[in-house]
Amino acid sequence: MLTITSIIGNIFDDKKLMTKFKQMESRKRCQRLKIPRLELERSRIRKKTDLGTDIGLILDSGTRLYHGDVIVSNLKKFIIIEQLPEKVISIRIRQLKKNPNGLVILGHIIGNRHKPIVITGDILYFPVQAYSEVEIFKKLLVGVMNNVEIEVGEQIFQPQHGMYMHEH
Amino acid sequence: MLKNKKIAKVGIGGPVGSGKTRLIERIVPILIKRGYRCCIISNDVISKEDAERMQRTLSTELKVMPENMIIGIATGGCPHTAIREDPTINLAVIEEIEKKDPSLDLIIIESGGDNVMTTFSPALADYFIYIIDVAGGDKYPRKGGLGIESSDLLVINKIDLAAHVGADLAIMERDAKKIRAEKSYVFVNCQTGEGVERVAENIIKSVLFDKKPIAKKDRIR
Repeated sequence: MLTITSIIGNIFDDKKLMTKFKQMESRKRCQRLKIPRLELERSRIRKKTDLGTDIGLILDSGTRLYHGDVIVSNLKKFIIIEQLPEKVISIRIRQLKKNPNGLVILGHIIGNRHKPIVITGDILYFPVQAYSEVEIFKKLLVGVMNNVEIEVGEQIFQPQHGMYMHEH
Repeated sequence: MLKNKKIAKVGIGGPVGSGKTRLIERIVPILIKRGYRCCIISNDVISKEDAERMQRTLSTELKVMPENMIIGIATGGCPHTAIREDPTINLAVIEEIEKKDPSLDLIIIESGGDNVMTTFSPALADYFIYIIDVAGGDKYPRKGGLGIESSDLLVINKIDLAAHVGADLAIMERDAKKIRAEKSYVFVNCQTGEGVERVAENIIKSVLFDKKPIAKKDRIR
């Protein structure tokens, strides 16, 4: 087992690491440690990379992992954290931009279900456990929005900073 | 060297009466026999009954650990609040334990009995065991819920009752495999101890990283 006690950096924040990632990827020396979002906050994880390297992560409490974190970087190996995609609902909220009451009710409905959210442009995203939840949200939003535009698909969900508390 | 690293923590959750306390009473002696030093925090909503019971079984009767290493917390409110939404009280107890005895290998945190959506805050537990029992019916695993789906280890207890409640263990195994993808599950009978060795093995591998216990002479006091 390869023990890791610190994070080197993140390929999306550090240009040099991104360059090295691309180089190592082209040489087929890059490995991925695939982790679900809810486990990224753990300080102790044992898992194998996609190429079978046995990793034991022991991080200081308060340290958390992010998609793209580099945990090993040497001439032979480059290992990054890859967050696993999950089921995510997206709702077009353009029609509510001039309707603060509607936005508050929408936030209340989602908040009641303890979902973390992210808003990008006119689209609001939040994770669900099952595709069947789409129907529930369509019904709940009938009085809030006209022609509720909801889609669901698998993607990497990164909650709005400071918004994630818990969910169930 | 892994200086100042926190003690490994395992959270155990599951419905009322599923066997959380009994599972701890079974796995702790196995871990202690292999040289690992453990502490238990038992959350109950109103009483401290489970902690008191473990003090009787593990300290008084089996004499495998001192009584002060089994701590009861009466959380009040909903059981999941103290292990997920606001784990402050558990974190405060853990901090005290870490100061008092940093050479401990493992802290086991038992949740009060709860529903299928039980999960532990990742700040509180490094590894999450969810336990259900056969008497709830063989539909249990396929009905899902965060505990069943996202726990690191699903423990299905009371397998001896299957024939009495008309539960088919093969169906439970098929559904557990399907709903949990590659995540582990184990069938146990906590009453007799059948299968519990595998639970201890999972903890040793996934949380203690197969590390050898600290020899008595090298422990920090």
